[in-house]
Amino acid sequence: MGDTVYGKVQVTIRVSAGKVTALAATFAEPHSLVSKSLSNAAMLQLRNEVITAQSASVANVSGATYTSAAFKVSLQSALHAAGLA
Amino acid sequence: MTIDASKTVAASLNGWVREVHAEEVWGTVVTFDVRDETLDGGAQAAIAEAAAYLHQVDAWFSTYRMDTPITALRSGIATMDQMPAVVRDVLERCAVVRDLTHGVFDPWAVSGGVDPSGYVKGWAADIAADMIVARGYQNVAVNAAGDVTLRGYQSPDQPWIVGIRHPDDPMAVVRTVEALDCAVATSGEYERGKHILDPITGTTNVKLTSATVVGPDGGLADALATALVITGVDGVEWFAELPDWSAYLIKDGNASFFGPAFEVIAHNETSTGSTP
Repeated sequence: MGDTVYGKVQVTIRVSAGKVTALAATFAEPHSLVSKSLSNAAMLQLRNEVITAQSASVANVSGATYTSAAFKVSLQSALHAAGLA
Repeated sequence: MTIDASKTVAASLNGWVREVHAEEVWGTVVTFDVRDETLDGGAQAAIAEAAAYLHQVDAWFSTYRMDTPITALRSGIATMDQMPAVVRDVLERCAVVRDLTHGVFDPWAVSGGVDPSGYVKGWAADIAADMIVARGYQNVAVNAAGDVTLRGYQSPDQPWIVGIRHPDDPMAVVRTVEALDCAVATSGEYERGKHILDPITGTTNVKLTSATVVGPDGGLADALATALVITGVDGVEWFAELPDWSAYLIKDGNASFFGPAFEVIAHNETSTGSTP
């Protein structure tokens, strides 16, 4: 459950054989202009933010393809190696 | 801000254990992370099997090797009819993605012959992750040099959390996303310089610093991220027609995002300050 500009959203993902077969987003407190699912119009609503660093409990990092050399100085490498002998 | 990797990993495990492995392949490193409440020795064997498959993928699809089917096809030594079924299958998938992106992702547009590399990495990550799941290990992350496939959870009741790399800082992330049984792929030029061709204009002038996409298919994610870097927000229209896909686009220090993956995880985020 999360707060969005469209109201509270509950997202349910169904998985079959490792593939997402359905992703249902329903609005617990629907905005008057939005009905039951995230429409393409809603997805087209680009939202903007100034980028800031966040850590949370991130387990993997997605980034532009790195070489073996660049991997060694990446956060992904540090997360991989943490706790290893 | 620098992330303390040990603390972050401990927090991300939240009591679970993990088996990790880093495989050097494709001129880069692919990392594996398998987790659960407890793990037996079979996890290591499952990872080894998946890692071996990545080398098989290299033997089919490397454009840097002389002995691969794709090199034979590119050089005209072999025809499509002579390709292994897996190569024909991947090229057919690439043709579908070319149509989906209105020609922006086009492995046939590059000089030197067809090059499906922009699809294969994410496609192979999906297969590797599913091989490990098939061995009975439900919680798997395969990170193919920045393109990540996730299955299951990273800790009890917590879907995998993937960070999007800060374009200017390899040790920082700018956004996190919860990824339940899907793929997260990023394209940009901050790692390897100008290398992305816009097949429509014939130039290498891309519109974005980076594009990250989240969706149910790793190969498609890999290709869509590249296409969005090329088109920028102009690609939003065809991208938005794809069900279940989300995107996070960075340009000159600002980000734009849309899609369910970025709408629903805001409540889980913790802002910890800014980076250069």
